[in-house]
Amino acid sequence: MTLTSWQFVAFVAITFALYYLPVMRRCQVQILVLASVSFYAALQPQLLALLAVATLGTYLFLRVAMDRRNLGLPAGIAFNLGLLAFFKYKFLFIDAGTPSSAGPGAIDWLLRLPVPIGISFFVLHNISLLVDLSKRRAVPTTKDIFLHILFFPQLIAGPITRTEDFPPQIKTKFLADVPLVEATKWLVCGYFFKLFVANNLNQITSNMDYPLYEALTVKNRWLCIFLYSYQIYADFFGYSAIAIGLALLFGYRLPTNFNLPYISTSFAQFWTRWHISFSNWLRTYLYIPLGGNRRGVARLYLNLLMVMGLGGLWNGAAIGYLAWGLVHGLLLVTERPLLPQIEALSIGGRSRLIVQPVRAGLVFLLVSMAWIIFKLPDLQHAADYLHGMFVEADIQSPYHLYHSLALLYSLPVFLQHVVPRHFLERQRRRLEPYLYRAMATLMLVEAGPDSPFIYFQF
Amino acid sequence: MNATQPAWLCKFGAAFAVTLTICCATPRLIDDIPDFPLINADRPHVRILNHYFQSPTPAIALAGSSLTERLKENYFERRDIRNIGLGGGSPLTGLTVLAETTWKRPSIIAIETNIMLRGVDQELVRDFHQVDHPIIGFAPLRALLALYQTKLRAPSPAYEPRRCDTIFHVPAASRLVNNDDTAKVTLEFEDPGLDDRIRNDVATLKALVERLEAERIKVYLYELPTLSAIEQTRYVRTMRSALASSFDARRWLQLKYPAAEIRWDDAIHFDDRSAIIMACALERALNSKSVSQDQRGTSPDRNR
Repeated sequence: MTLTSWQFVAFVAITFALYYLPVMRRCQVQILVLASVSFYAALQPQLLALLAVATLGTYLFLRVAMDRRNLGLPAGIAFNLGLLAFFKYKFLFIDAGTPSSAGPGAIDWLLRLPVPIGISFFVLHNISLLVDLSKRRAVPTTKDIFLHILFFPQLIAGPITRTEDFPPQIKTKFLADVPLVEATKWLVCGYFFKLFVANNLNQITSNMDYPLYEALTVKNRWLCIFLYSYQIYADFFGYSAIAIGLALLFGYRLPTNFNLPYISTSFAQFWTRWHISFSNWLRTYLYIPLGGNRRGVARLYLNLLMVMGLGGLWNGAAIGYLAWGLVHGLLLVTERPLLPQIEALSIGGRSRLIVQPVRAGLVFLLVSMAWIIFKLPDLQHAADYLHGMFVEADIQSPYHLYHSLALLYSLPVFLQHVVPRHFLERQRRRLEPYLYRAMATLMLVEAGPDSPFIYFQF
Repeated sequence: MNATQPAWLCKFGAAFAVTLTICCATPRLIDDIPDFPLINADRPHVRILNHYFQSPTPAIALAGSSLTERLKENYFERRDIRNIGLGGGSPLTGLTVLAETTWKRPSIIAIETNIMLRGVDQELVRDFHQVDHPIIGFAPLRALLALYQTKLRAPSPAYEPRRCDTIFHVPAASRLVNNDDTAKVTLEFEDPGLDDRIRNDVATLKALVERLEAERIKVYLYELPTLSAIEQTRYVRTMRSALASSFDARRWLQLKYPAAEIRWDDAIHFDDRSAIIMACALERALNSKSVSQDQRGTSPDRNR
C-alpha cells in the first residue's frame, strides 16, 4: 500500500469515518495509533517489530529520564542512534547480496534486513521527544506519546514535528471543525506534484542512472540536472503537502516543509526554505549544542561542515551522501564572509532587480549540480556524469529527450516559484475551484508511471 | 464548517467530475489520439513497433522480416494496414508483440514466412510488454504535445491512386545481382545446422497462430519471392516442408504477380518497384480472403 494507491485512499476513508463516529470519539487517539501501525504493517510487515521496539524503547527511556535526566536522556539517544546505525549504516560495511559467514542464522537474518522505511525520520522524532519532554514536569499520556511518534501522515518522511507543536493539539476532534477546503487543496496540490510532475520527470531523469547516462549528450546532461532538481522538489514537496492535507483531515496541523527553495538568493536562505523541519531539527539539536556561532569563526565553520556532513549522511549510507552534505557545508562556509558585501550590492531598486535574480540563478545552478552526487551516490559515477557535462562523448545511440515534455512537466514548479503570491489574487480566488479541478484531473489522466517517493528510502 | 466551504467543494467536485468523465470517455470515442512513443529509443525495431502502437488500431497487421519491411504502408490502397516487418529480425518477434498486446489488436494478421530461423527477440517483446497498457484516460496536454511532435516530423508520403497499374509504366531496373553475394547466401542456406532452428521457429509460429485464433484473430501466411538460386537451397526446402506439415493450404495467401518484373537489390531483397508490385499482390490476396466490407467500413482510418 503506497500513498498513491487506491488502497491507501480506502484506508484513509475508513479511518476517517471511524475517527469521527460519535461513539468512537473517546478513542480517537487509539484509532489513529492503530491506523498508523496498520499503515506501517502494510508497507513493511517484517519490520513492524522494529517500529514497536523503537517506540516502546523511547517511551521507557523517557520514563527513566523523567526521574533521572542524566541517565535516561543519553541512554535514550544512544538507543535510537544505535537503531539507526545498525539498520541503516550496516550497509556501509556489508553487502546484502553476498552470502555471509556471519554465524548463526538469526544474526545473519538481522544483518540482511532491509533499511526500515522512515527510520531516519522516526529516530529524529524520538530524539527530539526525549530531549524536549525530559525537560518538563508535565508529561503527555502514553497514548499521546505513541501518537506523536507514530502518526501515519508524518511517520515515513516527516515533516518532523516539534514537541511543543504536536502534543498540545491532541484533544477531541469534531467533523465540523475540519478545514475541508484547505485539506483538499493540500491533498490535490501534493498528489499533483507527485503524480503529474515528479513521476513524469522521473521518466526522463531515470536516464541519469548508471549506465544510462552514457547515452546522454552534453546538452541533455545539463538539462537533466535541472529536471532532477525540479523532480526531487516536486516529489518531496508533494509528499509533505499530502501529509499536511491528511493531518488536517484528522484535525492536526503539521508544519510546512518547503517555502519556494529555488528562489533562494543564498545557500543559508536555501536551507531555511528546503526541508524546513529537518533544518530546524539540525539547528536545534545539533548546531546549537555544538556551539553554533558562539565560539569563534573557526569553530562556526567547523560546526557548519559537521552539521551539513551529518545531515548528508542522514540521507543515506553512502559516501556520496556525506559528500553531498559537505558540498553544501562548503557552500555555506564560502558564502558566509561574502554575504555582507553581496547584500550591499542588492540595496537599491535597479541593482536589486539585477542582482537578486543573478544570485537566485547562481544558487539554483550550484544546488542543482550538487544534486548529481545525491542522484549518483557512487562518486565515480557522479564524476563520470560531471565530466560528460563538459566533454561531448561519441554516443552511438543517444537518448532522445523530448524538450516539449520536459517543459510541460517542469512548468508547475517553475510557475509556483516565479508567480508572485498576490498576482491577480481576486481573479485567482474566484477561479480557484476550477484550477484545483484541473490539477486533480491532470494528476489522474496524465500521471507518470508509478515510482516510489524519493525520501521514503531515507 | 466554514460557510464558504460547501460552495467551494461543490464547484470543485462538479467540475472535476465533468472533466474526468470527458477524459475517460474520449479514448472510447476516438481511436486516433496522438501519443508519444511507448519506448524512447532510436533503434529501428523499436521505431517500427512504436509506429504501430502510436497509430489507430489497424484491421490488418503484417508481421515479417526485412522483406515485408520493404512493403511500405503507403504502397497499399487500404489505409488500415500496419507493417511490423522487422529488418534483420524475425516475423515471430512482431507476431509475439501482437499476441501479447492487450489493446492494439488487429482483426487480421498476415505473416511472412520467408525467414524462419531467428527465433523471438524476447528482450524486445518484454520491453514492449512492460509499457503496453491500454489508454484509460485522455491525457490532453500530452496528446497536444504529441501532435506537435508529429507535425515536426516530415509527413509520410501520400498514397498514389492507381499505383498498381502505373508501376508497370516505370521500366524495371536492368541491374543484376552480385553473384558473389548470392553464392554466399546460398552457401549459408545449405547448412544442415539450420534445420533445428527452422523446426523450432515453425513450432513457435504454430503455437502463436493457435493462440491468436483462439482469441478470434484471423491469421494468414504468405511467402514473398526470392531468387531462384535461393529457392533451391536446403533452408527453403526444409522451411516449406515444415510449414506445409504444420499449416493447411487454406491459410496461405496466393500472391499473383508477374514474376518477370521482379528485380533484386541483393540476394534476398527485391527493389522498391518490385515492392510496390508485391504490395499490390498482397493487398489483392488479402481482399480476396473475405476481408468483409463492414470491417473495412468501420475502421476510422479507412478514408484518411
